[in-house]
Amino acid sequence: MDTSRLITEIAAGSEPIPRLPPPWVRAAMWLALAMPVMVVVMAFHGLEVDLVTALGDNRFVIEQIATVATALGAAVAAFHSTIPGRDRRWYWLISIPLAVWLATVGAGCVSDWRAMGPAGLRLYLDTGCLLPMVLIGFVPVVTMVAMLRRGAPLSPRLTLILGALATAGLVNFALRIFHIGDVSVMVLVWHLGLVAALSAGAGILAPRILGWARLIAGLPVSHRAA
Amino acid sequence: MDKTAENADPLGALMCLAQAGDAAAYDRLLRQCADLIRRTVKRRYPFLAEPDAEDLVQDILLSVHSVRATYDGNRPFVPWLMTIVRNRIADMARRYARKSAREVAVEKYPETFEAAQANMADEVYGDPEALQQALTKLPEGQRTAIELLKLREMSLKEASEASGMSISALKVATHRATRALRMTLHPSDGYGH
Repeated sequence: MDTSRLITEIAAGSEPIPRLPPPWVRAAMWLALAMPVMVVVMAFHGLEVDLVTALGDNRFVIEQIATVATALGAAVAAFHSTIPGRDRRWYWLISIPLAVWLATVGAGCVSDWRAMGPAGLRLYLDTGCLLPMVLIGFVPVVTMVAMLRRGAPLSPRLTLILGALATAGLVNFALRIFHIGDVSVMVLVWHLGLVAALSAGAGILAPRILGWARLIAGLPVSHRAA
Repeated sequence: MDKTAENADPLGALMCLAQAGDAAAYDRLLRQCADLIRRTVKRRYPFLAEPDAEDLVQDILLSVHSVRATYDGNRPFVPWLMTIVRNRIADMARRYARKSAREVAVEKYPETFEAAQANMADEVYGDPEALQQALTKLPEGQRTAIELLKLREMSLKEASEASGMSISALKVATHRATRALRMTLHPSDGYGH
């Protein structure tokens, strides 16, 4: 098809389109969609953690703050990465709360080992935490992907890895509030393992989930029809 | 109020109007974008053939159209546009590199095998008269098999029904006939030894 004809066709078929809100607003919207499900799951599951005691534990508080900061930072960065023409250098700042998160969990492993010996580093499969994890994670994952697909797929892998980090951070934050009994090595392996697995999966599937081909194929214009 | 609406960024102003549904403004914007994109593509890939370059321009225009909701009227338009342009050009370069790694451009397709016997298609029927004479020398069963299967291009089942020969007999007759024809037409190739 001739480019001039293509332009005529695109312009003639265009309709008013609302602008995407700024990334931080979209991150807040994502959180607002994810939170109710988390609260419902927590309500059904019941709080196993004595929050008053937990809030007195500096390591727990720092870990939770770092987890939320990582999740929110990654969510804003994920939405930001789908907007053309923006400076991405600040994404490195997310590595600060992420490092704090890893450090607190690592420190927990050491203190568990000191307090309990080898039992403090025992790793097992906690099936009781799997179902709440899936229930809590489902809505944030689906909404995150759906929202990211509305942006420009400039770097699908980075975008989806940031989205996965945000989701996994949020799930980890919630699990640590209502699920008790995990020694730090369990958090390190299973929770951060979830982060790594989601990020790796996101990196592999990114070009299919986000991508220009999908966007262009969905347009109602007969590109290259002639 | 958008900065672009104050005419500081005419392209941005057009995009704001386009986002609001103004088709005429969108048409003008896309034509100006097409010129910018075409110049960028030609500067980066001067060796691209005209149709390929235009194809890329169209792809980029469609990309711009598909993500027009991401443009913020308070920001300059050209950096927004050029990020998409660079991204799509890089995509094309990656696709081209992947394709080049998998494919080898050749003027003439290679033959199936190096051995001369495997590449006889041109030579065997190069002399129709000689082939006709060689066919007449074949035993009747072999000649029938060749006529039905090779010249009239029937399936084995159709040839079997037409000739009354069994399918296996047809296969054997065809094989023998082919070998006999090769020996007659190309005795130097050493068939049959």
